[in-house]
Amino acid sequence: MNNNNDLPEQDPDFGFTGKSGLGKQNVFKTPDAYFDKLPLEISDKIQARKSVDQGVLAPVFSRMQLVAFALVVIAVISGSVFYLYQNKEENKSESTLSYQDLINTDIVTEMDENMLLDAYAEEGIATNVNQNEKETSPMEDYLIENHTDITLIINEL
Amino acid sequence: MTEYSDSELLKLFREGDNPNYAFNLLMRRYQQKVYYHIRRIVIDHDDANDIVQNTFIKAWSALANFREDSQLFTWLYRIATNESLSFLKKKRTAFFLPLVNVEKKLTDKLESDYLVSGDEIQLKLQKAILTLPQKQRLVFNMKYYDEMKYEEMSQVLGTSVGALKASYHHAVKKIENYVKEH
Repeated sequence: MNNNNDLPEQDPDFGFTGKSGLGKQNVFKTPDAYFDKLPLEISDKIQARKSVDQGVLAPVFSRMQLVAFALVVIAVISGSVFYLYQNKEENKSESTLSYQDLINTDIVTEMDENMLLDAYAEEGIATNVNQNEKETSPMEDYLIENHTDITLIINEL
Repeated sequence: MTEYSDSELLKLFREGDNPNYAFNLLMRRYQQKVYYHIRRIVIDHDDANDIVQNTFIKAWSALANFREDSQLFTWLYRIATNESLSFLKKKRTAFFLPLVNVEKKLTDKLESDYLVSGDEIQLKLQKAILTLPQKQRLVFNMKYYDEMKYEEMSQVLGTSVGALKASYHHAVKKIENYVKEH
Protein backbone atom coordinates (compact mmCIF):
# COMPACT_ATOMS: atom_id res chain seq x y z
CA MET A 1 0.00 0.00 0.00
CA ASN A 2 1.29 3.41 -0.91
CA ASN A 3 1.50 5.52 2.22
CA ASN A 4 1.65 9.23 1.44
CA ASN A 5 3.26 9.91 4.80
CA ASP A 6 6.35 8.09 3.57
CA LEU A 7 6.89 10.69 0.85
CA PRO A 8 9.91 12.88 1.51
CA GLU A 9 9.52 16.32 3.12
CA GLN A 10 11.01 17.98 0.01
CA ASP A 11 10.96 15.99 -3.21
CA PRO A 12 14.66 15.47 -4.08
CA ASP A 13 13.79 14.89 -7.75
CA PHE A 14 12.07 18.21 -7.96
CA GLY A 15 14.30 19.24 -10.81
CA PHE A 16 13.15 22.44 -12.36
CA THR A 17 14.96 24.69 -9.91
CA GLY A 18 18.27 23.19 -10.88
CA LYS A 19 17.73 21.79 -14.36
CA SER A 20 15.68 24.63 -15.77
CA GLY A 21 17.50 27.39 -13.97
CA LEU A 22 14.42 28.30 -11.99
CA GLY A 23 15.06 29.88 -8.64
CA LYS A 24 12.57 30.94 -6.05
CA GLN A 25 12.51 34.39 -7.48
CA ASN A 26 9.56 36.48 -6.45
CA VAL A 27 7.91 37.77 -9.60
CA PHE A 28 5.28 39.78 -7.73
CA LYS A 29 6.12 43.39 -7.07
CA THR A 30 4.44 46.02 -4.93
CA PRO A 31 4.24 49.80 -5.21
CA ASP A 32 7.03 51.76 -3.54
CA ALA A 33 7.02 51.75 0.27
CA TYR A 34 3.90 49.60 0.23
CA PHE A 35 4.85 47.65 3.35
CA ASP A 36 5.71 50.84 5.22
CA LYS A 37 2.23 52.22 4.66
CA LEU A 38 0.19 49.03 4.96
CA PRO A 39 0.16 48.75 8.79
CA LEU A 40 -0.93 52.39 9.08
CA GLU A 41 -3.67 51.88 6.54
CA ILE A 42 -4.91 48.79 8.37
CA SER A 43 -4.70 50.54 11.76
CA ASP A 44 -6.77 53.44 10.38
CA LYS A 45 -9.41 51.02 9.14
CA ILE A 46 -9.48 49.22 12.49
CA GLN A 47 -9.90 52.53 14.33
CA ALA A 48 -12.62 53.59 11.89
CA ARG A 49 -14.42 50.31 12.44
CA LYS A 50 -14.09 50.63 16.20
CA SER A 51 -15.57 54.10 16.14
CA VAL A 52 -18.44 52.94 13.94
CA ASP A 53 -19.10 50.06 16.34
CA GLN A 54 -18.99 52.37 19.33
CA GLY A 55 -20.19 55.54 17.62
CA VAL A 56 -23.95 55.34 17.55
CA LEU A 57 -24.94 53.20 20.50
CA ALA A 58 -21.89 53.02 22.71
CA PRO A 59 -22.33 56.42 24.42
CA VAL A 60 -25.77 55.32 25.57
CA PHE A 61 -25.40 51.58 26.00
CA SER A 62 -22.46 49.39 26.77
CA ARG A 63 -22.13 46.12 24.87
CA MET A 64 -23.33 44.15 27.91
CA GLN A 65 -26.37 46.41 28.23
CA LEU A 66 -27.19 45.85 24.58
CA VAL A 67 -26.93 42.09 25.07
CA ALA A 68 -29.13 42.26 28.17
CA PHE A 69 -31.65 44.42 26.30
CA ALA A 70 -31.68 41.98 23.38
CA LEU A 71 -32.27 39.08 25.79
CA VAL A 72 -35.18 40.92 27.44
CA VAL A 73 -36.72 41.65 24.04
CA ILE A 74 -36.36 38.00 23.05
CA ALA A 75 -37.90 36.89 26.36
CA VAL A 76 -40.87 39.27 25.95
CA ILE A 77 -41.49 38.16 22.37
CA SER A 78 -41.20 34.49 23.33
CA GLY A 79 -43.55 35.04 26.29
CA SER A 80 -46.10 36.79 24.12
CA VAL A 81 -46.00 34.06 21.51
CA PHE A 82 -46.34 31.41 24.22
CA TYR A 83 -49.24 33.28 25.86
CA LEU A 84 -51.07 33.68 22.55
CA TYR A 85 -50.48 30.04 21.74
CA GLN A 86 -51.80 28.96 25.15
CA ASN A 87 -54.89 31.17 24.75
CA LYS A 88 -55.56 29.71 21.36
CA GLU A 89 -55.28 26.22 22.80
CA GLU A 90 -57.66 27.08 25.65
CA ASN A 91 -60.25 28.55 23.29
CA LYS A 92 -59.98 25.52 21.11
CA SER A 93 -60.49 23.10 24.01
CA GLU A 94 -63.34 25.19 25.41
CA SER A 95 -65.28 24.97 22.17
CA THR A 96 -64.96 21.21 22.05
CA LEU A 97 -66.20 20.58 25.60
CA SER A 98 -69.41 18.62 25.93
CA TYR A 99 -72.12 19.78 28.26
CA GLN A 100 -71.26 16.92 30.56
CA ASP A 101 -67.71 18.23 30.68
CA LEU A 102 -69.02 21.63 31.58
CA ILE A 103 -71.22 20.25 34.33
CA ASN A 104 -68.29 18.38 35.75
CA THR A 105 -66.11 21.44 35.95
CA ASP A 106 -66.08 24.50 38.14
CA ILE A 107 -66.85 26.63 35.13
CA VAL A 108 -70.49 25.76 35.74
CA THR A 109 -70.78 28.73 38.12
CA GLU A 110 -70.12 31.06 35.24
CA MET A 111 -72.61 29.47 32.90
CA ASP A 112 -75.83 30.96 31.72
CA GLU A 113 -78.81 29.28 33.39
CA ASN A 114 -80.46 28.48 30.07
CA MET A 115 -77.35 26.76 28.82
CA LEU A 116 -77.35 24.58 31.90
CA LEU A 117 -80.99 23.72 31.48
CA ASP A 118 -80.38 22.79 27.86
CA ALA A 119 -77.48 20.71 28.96
CA TYR A 120 -79.56 18.89 31.53
CA ALA A 121 -82.25 18.21 28.97
CA GLU A 122 -79.79 17.03 26.36
CA GLU A 123 -78.03 14.73 28.74
CA GLY A 124 -81.31 13.30 29.99
CA ILE A 125 -80.90 14.56 33.51
CA ALA A 126 -84.07 15.01 35.50
CA THR A 127 -85.16 18.63 35.67
CA ASN A 128 -85.61 18.92 39.36
CA VAL A 129 -85.68 22.65 39.05
CA ASN A 130 -89.08 22.59 37.29
CA GLN A 131 -90.50 20.14 39.78
CA ASN A 132 -89.42 22.33 42.62
CA GLU A 133 -91.03 25.29 40.92
CA LYS A 134 -94.32 23.36 40.60
CA GLU A 135 -94.28 22.45 44.26
CA THR A 136 -93.51 25.92 45.37
CA SER A 137 -95.95 27.86 43.12
CA PRO A 138 -99.29 26.13 42.51
CA MET A 139 -100.97 29.52 42.38
CA GLU A 140 -98.96 30.44 39.36
CA ASP A 141 -99.92 27.20 37.64
CA TYR A 142 -103.58 27.91 38.27
CA LEU A 143 -103.35 31.38 36.86
CA ILE A 144 -101.52 30.22 33.76
CA GLU A 145 -103.82 27.31 33.07
CA ASN A 146 -106.99 29.48 33.39
CA HIS A 147 -105.52 32.33 31.36
CA THR A 148 -106.31 34.65 34.23
CA ASP A 149 -105.44 38.27 33.72
CA ILE A 150 -103.35 39.05 36.73
CA THR A 151 -103.95 42.83 36.42
CA LEU A 152 -107.67 42.30 37.09
CA ILE A 153 -106.90 40.49 40.32
CA ILE A 154 -104.51 43.22 41.36
CA ASN A 155 -107.11 45.90 40.64
CA GLU A 156 -109.73 44.02 42.65
CA LEU A 157 -107.37 43.76 45.60
CA MET B 1 13.34 48.00 19.59
CA THR B 2 12.50 45.03 21.80
CA GLU B 3 12.08 41.81 19.86
CA TYR B 4 9.00 40.10 21.26
CA SER B 5 8.11 36.47 20.68
CA ASP B 6 4.62 35.70 19.32
CA SER B 7 3.44 34.73 22.81
CA GLU B 8 4.78 37.95 24.25
CA LEU B 9 3.08 39.93 21.51
CA LEU B 10 -0.20 38.19 22.26
CA LYS B 11 0.19 38.90 25.96
CA LEU B 12 0.99 42.51 25.20
CA PHE B 13 -2.09 42.71 22.98
CA ARG B 14 -4.39 41.18 25.57
CA GLU B 15 -3.06 42.59 28.78
CA GLY B 16 -0.95 45.57 27.82
CA ASP B 17 -1.97 49.21 27.98
CA ASN B 18 -1.59 49.65 24.26
CA PRO B 19 -2.99 46.77 22.18
CA ASN B 20 -2.61 48.92 19.04
CA TYR B 21 1.14 48.94 19.51
CA ALA B 22 1.25 45.16 19.93
CA PHE B 23 -0.91 44.62 16.88
CA ASN B 24 1.22 47.00 14.86
CA LEU B 25 4.29 44.96 15.71
CA LEU B 26 2.45 41.81 14.74
CA MET B 27 1.43 43.27 11.39
CA ARG B 28 4.95 44.42 10.64
CA ARG B 29 6.25 40.96 11.43
CA TYR B 30 3.83 39.04 9.22
CA GLN B 31 2.53 41.45 6.58
CA GLN B 32 4.92 40.42 3.84
CA LYS B 33 4.45 36.69 4.30
CA VAL B 34 0.68 37.08 4.42
CA TYR B 35 0.61 39.50 1.49
CA TYR B 36 2.67 37.29 -0.83
CA HIS B 37 0.69 34.22 0.18
CA ILE B 38 -2.46 36.05 -0.86
CA ARG B 39 -0.86 37.56 -3.96
CA ARG B 40 0.11 34.13 -5.24
CA ILE B 41 -3.51 33.08 -4.97
CA VAL B 42 -5.23 36.13 -6.47
CA ILE B 43 -2.30 37.44 -8.60
CA ASP B 44 -3.57 41.04 -8.77
CA HIS B 45 -1.97 43.54 -6.38
CA ASP B 46 -5.14 45.57 -5.73
CA ASP B 47 -7.10 42.43 -4.89
CA ALA B 48 -4.27 41.20 -2.68
CA ASN B 49 -4.15 44.59 -0.96
CA ASP B 50 -7.88 44.44 -0.12
CA ILE B 51 -7.60 40.87 1.11
CA VAL B 52 -4.53 41.43 3.25
CA GLN B 53 -6.29 44.36 4.92
CA ASN B 54 -9.40 42.28 5.56
CA THR B 55 -7.22 39.50 6.90
CA PHE B 56 -5.58 41.72 9.50
CA ILE B 57 -8.85 43.41 10.42
CA LYS B 58 -10.36 39.98 11.05
CA ALA B 59 -7.29 38.96 12.98
CA TRP B 60 -7.66 42.07 15.13
CA SER B 61 -11.27 41.16 15.95
CA ALA B 62 -10.45 37.54 16.76
CA LEU B 63 -7.03 37.86 18.32
CA ALA B 64 -8.35 38.28 21.86
CA ASN B 65 -9.96 34.84 21.54
CA PHE B 66 -7.03 33.17 19.79
CA ARG B 67 -6.44 30.00 21.81
CA GLU B 68 -2.86 29.36 20.75
CA ASP B 69 -3.68 25.80 19.67
CA SER B 70 -1.71 26.64 16.57
CA GLN B 71 1.09 29.05 15.82
CA LEU B 72 0.16 32.64 15.22
CA PHE B 73 1.42 32.69 11.65
CA THR B 74 -0.44 29.50 10.66
CA TRP B 75 -3.57 31.07 12.15
CA LEU B 76 -2.99 34.21 10.06
CA TYR B 77 -2.34 32.07 6.99
CA ARG B 78 -5.61 30.26 7.57
CA ILE B 79 -7.55 33.52 7.68
CA ALA B 80 -5.69 34.78 4.61
CA THR B 81 -6.31 31.55 2.69
CA ASN B 82 -10.02 31.57 3.52
CA GLU B 83 -10.35 35.22 2.55
CA SER B 84 -8.55 34.63 -0.73
CA LEU B 85 -10.58 31.57 -1.67
CA SER B 86 -13.80 33.39 -0.76
CA PHE B 87 -12.69 36.25 -2.99
CA LEU B 88 -12.12 33.92 -5.95
CA LYS B 89 -15.44 32.21 -5.29
CA LYS B 90 -17.24 35.56 -5.26
CA LYS B 91 -15.50 36.51 -8.48
CA ARG B 92 -16.69 33.27 -10.07
CA THR B 93 -20.29 33.69 -8.96
CA ALA B 94 -20.39 37.43 -9.73
CA PHE B 95 -19.37 36.87 -13.34
CA PHE B 96 -20.87 33.37 -13.70
CA LEU B 97 -17.42 32.04 -14.53
CA PRO B 98 -16.34 28.42 -14.29
CA LEU B 99 -13.13 27.70 -12.38
CA VAL B 100 -11.11 27.37 -15.59
CA ASN B 101 -12.05 30.87 -16.77
CA VAL B 102 -11.00 32.40 -13.48
CA GLU B 103 -7.60 30.76 -13.80
CA LYS B 104 -7.45 32.00 -17.39
CA LYS B 105 -8.15 35.55 -16.21
CA LEU B 106 -5.43 35.19 -13.57
CA THR B 107 -3.00 34.04 -16.27
CA ASP B 108 -3.91 37.05 -18.42
CA LYS B 109 -3.35 39.26 -15.42
CA LEU B 110 0.04 37.68 -14.91
CA GLU B 111 1.04 38.73 -18.43
CA SER B 112 -0.38 42.24 -18.32
CA ASP B 113 0.26 43.39 -14.74
CA TYR B 114 3.10 45.91 -14.48
CA LEU B 115 3.61 44.71 -10.91
CA VAL B 116 4.64 41.30 -12.17
CA SER B 117 8.22 40.99 -13.31
CA GLY B 118 10.60 38.16 -13.97
CA ASP B 119 12.13 36.45 -16.93
CA GLU B 120 10.28 34.22 -19.34
CA ILE B 121 11.01 31.08 -17.41
CA GLN B 122 9.73 32.54 -14.15
CA LEU B 123 6.50 33.56 -15.82
CA LYS B 124 6.25 30.07 -17.30
CA LEU B 125 6.49 28.63 -13.82
CA GLN B 126 3.74 30.95 -12.61
CA LYS B 127 1.55 29.96 -15.55
CA ALA B 128 2.23 26.32 -14.82
CA ILE B 129 1.17 26.85 -11.20
CA LEU B 130 -2.06 28.45 -12.39
CA THR B 131 -2.94 25.28 -14.34
CA LEU B 132 -3.01 23.30 -11.08
CA PRO B 133 -6.24 22.55 -9.25
CA GLN B 134 -6.84 25.13 -6.50
CA LYS B 135 -5.80 22.92 -3.58
CA GLN B 136 -2.62 21.74 -5.31
CA ARG B 137 -1.79 25.34 -6.16
CA LEU B 138 -2.08 26.32 -2.50
CA VAL B 139 0.01 23.38 -1.38
CA PHE B 140 2.68 24.00 -3.98
CA ASN B 141 3.00 27.70 -3.17
CA MET B 142 3.14 27.14 0.57
CA LYS B 143 5.71 24.39 0.25
CA TYR B 144 7.86 25.77 -2.52
CA TYR B 145 7.82 29.52 -1.86
CA ASP B 146 6.99 29.77 1.85
CA GLU B 147 8.95 26.62 2.72
CA MET B 148 6.34 25.60 5.24
CA LYS B 149 6.44 22.24 6.94
CA TYR B 150 3.66 19.80 6.12
CA GLU B 151 2.49 19.92 9.75
CA GLU B 152 2.13 23.68 9.49
CA MET B 153 0.34 23.42 6.16
CA SER B 154 -1.94 20.86 7.72
CA GLN B 155 -2.95 23.41 10.35
CA VAL B 156 -3.65 26.02 7.69
CA LEU B 157 -5.57 23.84 5.25
CA GLY B 158 -7.10 21.30 7.62
CA THR B 159 -5.77 18.46 5.49
CA SER B 160 -3.74 15.46 6.59
CA VAL B 161 0.03 15.48 6.15
CA GLY B 162 -0.17 12.42 3.89
CA ALA B 163 -2.68 14.10 1.58
CA LEU B 164 -0.56 17.25 1.46
CA LYS B 165 2.53 15.28 0.51
CA ALA B 166 0.60 13.57 -2.26
CA SER B 167 -0.79 16.91 -3.46
CA TYR B 168 2.66 18.45 -3.59
CA HIS B 169 4.06 15.41 -5.38
CA HIS B 170 1.35 15.58 -8.05
CA ALA B 171 1.76 19.34 -8.38
CA VAL B 172 5.49 19.03 -8.99
CA LYS B 173 4.96 16.37 -11.65
CA LYS B 174 2.37 18.49 -13.44
CA ILE B 175 4.57 21.57 -13.35
CA GLU B 176 7.53 19.63 -14.68
CA ASN B 177 5.40 18.34 -17.53
CA TYR B 178 4.08 21.81 -18.28
CA VAL B 179 7.58 23.30 -18.35
CA LYS B 180 8.76 20.51 -20.67
CA GLU B 181 5.82 20.95 -23.05
CA HIS B 182 5.86 24.75 -23.28
